[in-house]
Amino acid sequence: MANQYNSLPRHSASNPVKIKIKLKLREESTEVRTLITHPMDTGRLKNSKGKLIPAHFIQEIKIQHNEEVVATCVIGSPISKNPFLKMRFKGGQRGDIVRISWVDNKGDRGSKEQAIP
Amino acid sequence: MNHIQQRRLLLKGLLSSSLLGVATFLPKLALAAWPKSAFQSTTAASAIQKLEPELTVEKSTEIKIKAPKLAENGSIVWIEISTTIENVESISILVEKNPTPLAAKFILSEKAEAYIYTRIKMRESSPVIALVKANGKLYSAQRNIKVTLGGCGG
Repeated sequence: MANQYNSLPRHSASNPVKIKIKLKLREESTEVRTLITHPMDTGRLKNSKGKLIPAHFIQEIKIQHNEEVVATCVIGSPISKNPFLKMRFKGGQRGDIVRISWVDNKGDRGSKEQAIP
Repeated sequence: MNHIQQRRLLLKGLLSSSLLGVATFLPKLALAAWPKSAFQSTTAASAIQKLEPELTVEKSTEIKIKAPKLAENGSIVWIEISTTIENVESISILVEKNPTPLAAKFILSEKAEAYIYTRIKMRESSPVIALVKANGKLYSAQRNIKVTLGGCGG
C-alpha cells in the first residue's frame, strides 16, 4: 500500500487490456485463438532505474462455449507477455457464443464474447 | 482525556485493520483456484508433486510436443502439445530450468480436444515437460528446446 504504483490499477481507461479472439469452424471442432494484452511481469525484472518491477501476470483464462466452460487455463508468469492460446472444442455451431475471461494476480479482470462465424 | 485517546486509538486500529482485511481478502477470494505453491516451486519435480500430490508420473509415447528445436528469443517460445490418450482432464507445461518451472495448467472439459498451443518464456536451453492427467493417472513426455537468448529477465 505504501508504494502508490503498486496500488494503482495498471489497466486504466488509457491502457485497457485488450482481448483478441479468432474463431474457426473446423470439420470436427471449433478452433479458438485468443491473445490478451498483458505485461506478464515475473517480478524478477528490473526497470531502467534498477528497481524490481513487481510481479503482474494473468492467473486464469477461462474459455466458455454458450456459457459452458470448455477450458480453464491456470497460468503463471512463465507464459510470454501478451498471452496467446489456441485450443479446440467439439460441438460448436455457427452463431454460438464463445466467451473469454481473465483474472490477474492483482484481481483485475475482463472478458469478451464473440460469435462463431 | 487519556481514556478518550485510548478509545480513539482503538477505533483507528479497528478501522485500518478491517480495511486491510478487505484489501487482502478480495484478491484471494477471486483467485482461490490458483495453485500458488506449485507455481512457486523451484524444481519441476516439486511442482508436479504439489499439483498432484497423490499421483506418480508415467512416461508416455502418446504425447506429442511440437516446438522449435532452436529458439532464438527465450521470451517467446511457441509450444504445441497434443495426445491420443483419452479422457484428458488437464495438460500442464513445465520448463525444467526456469526459476519457477510450472508455466501453465490447462484444465480441459469433455468437449475440449486434447490439444493446446501457447507461448512460454525460457531462461535457458532446457527440457520442457508436458504433463497429461487422464483417467486418474499422470503421463509425461519431454523435449529439449535450445535457447540462444534467455527470456526470463534475470
